[in-house]
Amino acid sequence: MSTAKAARARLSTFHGSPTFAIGIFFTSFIFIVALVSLIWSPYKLDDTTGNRLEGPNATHLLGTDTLGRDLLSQLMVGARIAMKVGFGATGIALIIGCFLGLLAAFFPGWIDDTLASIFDTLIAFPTLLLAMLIIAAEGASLWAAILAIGIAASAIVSRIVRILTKRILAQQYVVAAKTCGTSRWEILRGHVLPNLWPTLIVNLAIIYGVAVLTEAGLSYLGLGAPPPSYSWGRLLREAQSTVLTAPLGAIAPGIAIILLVLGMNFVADGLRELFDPTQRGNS
Amino acid sequence: MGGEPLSRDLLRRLLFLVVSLFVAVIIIFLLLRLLPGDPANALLSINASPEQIAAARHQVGADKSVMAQFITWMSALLHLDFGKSYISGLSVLPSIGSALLITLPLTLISFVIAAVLSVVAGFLAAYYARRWFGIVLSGFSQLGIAVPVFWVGLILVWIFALRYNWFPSSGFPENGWGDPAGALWSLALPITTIVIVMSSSMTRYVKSVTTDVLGSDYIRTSRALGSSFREAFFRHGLRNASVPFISVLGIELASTLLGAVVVESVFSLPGLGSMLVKAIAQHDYPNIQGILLVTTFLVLVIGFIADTVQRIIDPRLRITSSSGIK
Repeated sequence: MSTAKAARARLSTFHGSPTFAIGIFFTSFIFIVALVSLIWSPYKLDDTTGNRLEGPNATHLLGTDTLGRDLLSQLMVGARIAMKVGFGATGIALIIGCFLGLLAAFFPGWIDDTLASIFDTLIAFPTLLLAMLIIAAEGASLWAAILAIGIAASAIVSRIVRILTKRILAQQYVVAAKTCGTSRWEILRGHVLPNLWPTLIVNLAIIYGVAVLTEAGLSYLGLGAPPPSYSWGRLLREAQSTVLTAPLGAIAPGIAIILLVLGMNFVADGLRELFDPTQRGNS
Repeated sequence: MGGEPLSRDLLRRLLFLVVSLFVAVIIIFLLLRLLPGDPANALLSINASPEQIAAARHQVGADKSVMAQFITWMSALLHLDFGKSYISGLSVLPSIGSALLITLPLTLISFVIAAVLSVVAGFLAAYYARRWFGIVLSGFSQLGIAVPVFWVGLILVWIFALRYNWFPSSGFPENGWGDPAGALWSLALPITTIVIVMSSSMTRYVKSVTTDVLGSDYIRTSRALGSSFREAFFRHGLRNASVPFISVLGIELASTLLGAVVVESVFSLPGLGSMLVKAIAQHDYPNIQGILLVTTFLVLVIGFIADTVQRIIDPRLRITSSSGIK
């Protein structure tokens, strides 16, 4: 594809869904901040040279915390943690969910029945409760939180994959392909996956947002990574006691969470509109 | 399409409820008993002698086989004996009971307000989808879904409790519900917090269901046959829209419960959530187990009730199994 053509295609994508464009803008902003924090941040995280609870000023754009550390630098590192949580938990949910969902769909009978009832029961449970259960057993750490959220979300992915795959497998052209002797593997690759991924990717974007929110909640409750950790949830936990003197410390991490989660939800809505134009304006 | 009588369907799903509860009990037992370090650790200081460790293990029953532990534990559960807290020595079940006196009213009041608000807001957002009014409503609900519930609480505390001193920033009256006005007063901000977040996700859902109904063939036909919009919507639309909405209500009620658990920590309310967070931090396994069991029980029962109500409204659901998908 020539560059002009590619550019036009990209433009029309954004034109087709302003929601998608806004979503991409928000999420890529946080993504870039996370990347930048790998090589540069205004201050080192253990730099306590600032005054205690400074307001926003020229040297500390967002002010400082109770130990005199720069808030902006902490937020930037927090973006990296949010990325780890989002991609980590979504990845785990995708792998477990696809495996179990396809297993259930391809093997009707007792395997399907058992798995389906497990998915239904698990979905009734709020992600946070499952995460707390696993953390109660494993102890609090960032990876326990990611694993717990990923496992909880995998029930949602499993159910979607199972239902969609069953629907696809019941289509006449798939039945015809089967009758012609096409192998299960070929059907999976040629018919199931191409029809599966649009819905799947929309839901993964939503799960990403839920994962970020849940980890923030866990960290806020003190059940995420133990200190020193710069998860946005933990920053909020620490800012709560000083909210009257330094409100920005309690506002800024919240805004960061909202930008990322709202952005991901917009991406999901936008993708849904792009994949299925009849859904436009229905989000 | 004969369908099963409601009673037989009810019986089958009751059985399913009991089986799910039993599975949940086993999972909670295994997770807390097998994965972590010894539950006896909670009783000991860091440099305990081997004799002390053995004594502690004996005290919590960790020196017996897993099966023996499970049977002892299960039979105690059936006698409603959830054990005693390692830390405070208090019986688990009465502690949970008094914590629920805060968590349940907080959950239920918030849920009812949020549900009513979202039905109105969701309908208006769908009906006026192309006017600024509807767009603003949708925008608010989009925003509400992306906001962490504890952050809303934190901001409300900052503005209404610390800056203006209109409401207490934390805690619950000493004599609890003996002082109903004081109790409700200290629940005002927590309830507002949960309502803001929960009504957003429910509004979004009501809006999408209403949009489907408004564009449906049966409403158009009914209108074409001469009924007013109100007649068409109330006679045909409402019942069709209510079925999927109730299943969502079940899940939303469960999330409201969890929302309450988090919000309690923001406002230092001595409810189930604060109790759970403290128990996890202190490795107080009897309390963790008890709270998780009670919460699981509540979540499953809520789901069961939502299912039953749906089947009363829509007889078509009675013929498929709970996981039935064509």
